[in-house]
Amino acid sequence: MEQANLSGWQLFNLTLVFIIGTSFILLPGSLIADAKQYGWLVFIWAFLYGIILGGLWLYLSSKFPGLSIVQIAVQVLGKWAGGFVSLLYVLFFIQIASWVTRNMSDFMHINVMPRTPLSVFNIMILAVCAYAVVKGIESIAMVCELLSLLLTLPFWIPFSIMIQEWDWQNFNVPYVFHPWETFLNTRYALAFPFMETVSFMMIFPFAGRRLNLAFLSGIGFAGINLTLSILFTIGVLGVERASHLIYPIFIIFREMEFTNFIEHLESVLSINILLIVCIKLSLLFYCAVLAICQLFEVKERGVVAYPLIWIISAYALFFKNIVENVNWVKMYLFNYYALYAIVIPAVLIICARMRKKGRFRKRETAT
Amino acid sequence: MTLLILLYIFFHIGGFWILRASPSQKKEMGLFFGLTTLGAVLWGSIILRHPLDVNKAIGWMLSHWL
Repeated sequence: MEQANLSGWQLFNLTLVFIIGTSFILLPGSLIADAKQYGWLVFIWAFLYGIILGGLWLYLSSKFPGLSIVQIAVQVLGKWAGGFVSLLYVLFFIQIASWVTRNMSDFMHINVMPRTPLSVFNIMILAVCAYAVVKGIESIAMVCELLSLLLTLPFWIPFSIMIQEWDWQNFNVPYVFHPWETFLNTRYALAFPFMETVSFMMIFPFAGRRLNLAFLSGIGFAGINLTLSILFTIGVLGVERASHLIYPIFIIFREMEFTNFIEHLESVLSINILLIVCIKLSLLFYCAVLAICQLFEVKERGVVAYPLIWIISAYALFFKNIVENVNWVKMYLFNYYALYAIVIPAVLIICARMRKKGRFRKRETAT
Repeated sequence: MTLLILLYIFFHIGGFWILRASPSQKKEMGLFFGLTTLGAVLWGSIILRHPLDVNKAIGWMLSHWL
């Protein structure tokens, strides 16, 4: 395994960028359509749920220090069952990487370069990410650390300027709020992006001091950022308009005008999105490559990383269009992610405890 | 399709050429070949308009089993 060491600050930044990743362009529209003016409230519940889940993964990781989820599965469940679970996680990482790739290429295709085929975006970004993966997690973390301020400021400064368009009437939409029904209909916001962070169980072994604080505060800070951006979107665009847009934040940036001098800042946002998605994709790509390397005991990451471009770029094209993608996310994502984020980690914790108890009893009977 | 096959062959030639220079084992070559072939099969299915759509399969499984 790679000999890398990530600081708490680096892990915090990686968590932040990973969660914000594609969700801040895709999530507000769907969430406002389903929860109307209470979309931001639903997201608070989602990120609190994310913090609780983060605690579960950290607990599991603390029981097996220095091991990734793939290695924990093999150690707890044995070679065959553990190997099968590891293969499931490899598939999971490849799937999320493919979906992130598709989100990025859809965004670029719809908003920036409509004549360029999706596959061109997919292959180009994956080639860059494969190179980052071969260079290692420290390189990805350093790039993330370098860019985090650059990504945050150009996002929040124009957003703050747009506050002059804020209208409280946008929150007076006739809609009866049924909390349980709304939370059930918007459960995809729990999965995307918070259940995806189970991928960090591949990276925990590299984190040094303050792992718990860095990871949980990363989730919390990203949650606050996203809640605020949903709140701003409702206040600026209104429920009716925001819920009919695929990328409402992009539209805010496009329509922004400040003293007739600064306008059309969507190009800044596009670059931001490209960089953020690149980091998230590199991280997921790294998790997939590392999981395969650990499972098959391969040392050279390049042997796995470059051929994976073939798989991820093809997988990214399976959704016919963005509507099919959004529908799949709404219908199946929570149930599907629950297997990897809740069921398997819970089973591993229970099995590890049972094994420990079994060993303890054996020792007692032996003495 | 021809382009895909050519790309597949060239990717293998390039990959094995690089792997030959490094002290790699058979397992690594097998993994390289397996992953590339799987990716080429997925691409082939897309080009032939009969995609091996894993997303649909997962959706079907979830709606039937849960």
